[in-house]
Amino acid sequence: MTSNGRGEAELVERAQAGDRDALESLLRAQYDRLHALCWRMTGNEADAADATQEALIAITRGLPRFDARARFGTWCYRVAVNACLDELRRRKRRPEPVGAERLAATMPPSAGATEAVADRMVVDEALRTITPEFRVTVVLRDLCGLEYSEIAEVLDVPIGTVRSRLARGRGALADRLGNQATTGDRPRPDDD
Amino acid sequence: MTDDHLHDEELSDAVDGVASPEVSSHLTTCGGCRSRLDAMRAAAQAVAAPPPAPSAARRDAAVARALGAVAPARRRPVVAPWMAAAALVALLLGAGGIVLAGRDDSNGGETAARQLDSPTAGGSADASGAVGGPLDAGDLGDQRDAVALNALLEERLAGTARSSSAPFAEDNAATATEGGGAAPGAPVAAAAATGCVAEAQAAGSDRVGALVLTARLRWQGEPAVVLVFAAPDQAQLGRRAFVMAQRDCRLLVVQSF
Repeated sequence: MTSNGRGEAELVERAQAGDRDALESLLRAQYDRLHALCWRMTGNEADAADATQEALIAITRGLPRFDARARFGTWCYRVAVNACLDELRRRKRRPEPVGAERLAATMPPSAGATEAVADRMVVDEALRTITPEFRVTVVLRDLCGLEYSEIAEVLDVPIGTVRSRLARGRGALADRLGNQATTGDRPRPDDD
Repeated sequence: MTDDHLHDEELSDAVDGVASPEVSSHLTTCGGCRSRLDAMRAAAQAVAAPPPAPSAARRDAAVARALGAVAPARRRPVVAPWMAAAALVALLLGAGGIVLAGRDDSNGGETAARQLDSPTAGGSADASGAVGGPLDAGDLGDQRDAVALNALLEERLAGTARSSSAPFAEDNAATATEGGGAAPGAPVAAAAATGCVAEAQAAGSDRVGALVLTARLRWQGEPAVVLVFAAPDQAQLGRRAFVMAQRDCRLLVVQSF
C-alpha cells in the first residue's frame, strides 16, 4: 500500500470512528474526480453537481458499512456511478435542456475558451449517444484511469465483460467523433 | 480477428498497450486497422480530457451538505425529574401569585409557558409568528461551523413545533412577528432574509418546498441571512438551509438537515 493509501485508510478508520474532520478530508479529496465522472456520465454540469452531491451524501451515510475490502476510492466510484444512473433515470422524467440552455450550461468564462468548450460538448454529445453501460466503462477506464479489475469491481461484472464493453464503447465513440474516416473496408462493430 | 481485420476488442487492447504479438504484427501491415486504432485512441484521449473542475464554493457547499446529512444527534439538555417538578411548582406559584394579586392577566401563564418552551433565551419567535408564515428566528449571532448552525436551526424549529401545532404556512412572503415574544432585531432579519428568497430558491433548483425559517447572522464574519426551506416532498432529504450574504444575496453555504 502506498503512503497515500495508508493515509487514506487511516482517514477512513478515523471517519468511521466519528471523526468529522477526517470525513471532511475524505469527501474533499474525492469531490473533484467524482464530479468529473458524473459530468461525463450525465453530460452537463448541473446534473453532474446533483449526482455528485447525492454521491457524497451516500458515501457519508454508507461509510459505517464500508468494510475496506475494496479501496475507498474504488468504492466511492461505485457509489457515484449509482448516483449518476439514478440521475439519468430522473432526467428521463423531466424535459431535456436543449439548444441555448445546454450551451449556457457549458458556457466558458471567456471567449478564449470557446474551442475547449466546443470540444467538450462534442465529447459529451458523443457519450450521450452510447448506452450507459458502455459509457460508464469507457469513462472509468479513460477518464478515471481504473484497471480492468477495478472497473469489474465497481460495476460488479466479470473482467471479460469490461473488456467487451470498453471495446464497443470506444468503437462507437470513434464512429460518433468522426475519427473513422480512413478505416477503409473494415467491418464496423454494432455498439448496442 | 476477422478474415482480414482486427476486432475492436483487439484494437481496444492495443489502445491500452496490451496487444498480443499477433495483433501488433497485423497492425504493422494493415493500414485500415491502424486507422481504426488511431480513431479509437483519439476517442479514448477525448474522454480522458477532464471537464472543468467545480468551483471551490460548490465543493464547499456539497461537502458541508454531506456532512450535515449525518449531523451528530443533538444533545438535549438533561432535565432531572426534580428540576421539572421545581419548574412546574415555580410556574404554578407565579401564576397563582398573579391571580392572588388580583391582576386580570390571563396571558401571564401562557407567556411564562412560552418562555419555558423557548429553547434559547430571546431567540425564538412566538407561535403567532410561526402560524402566519416562516419562523423569524432573529439574530443567530456569529456562526462559523455548518454543523453547529444546523443544530441551532433544528433547535429553533423544534421550539416552534412545540409551541404551535399549526403546520408551517405555504406562503413564502415575509412574516410578521407581532404580538410579543419576537427576538430583538427580528423584523430586520425577516426583511433581509426574505429579500434573498428568489436567489435561494434558484440555488435550490426543484428541491425546496415552503420557506419555514428566516434569520440573521454573521457567517464567518460576513453579515448574512439564513433561509430554511422544507423538503418539497417526503422522498427528499429534508429541510435545506441557505446561508446568503446580506449585501448581495450571494450563496455562502447550503446544507440539508
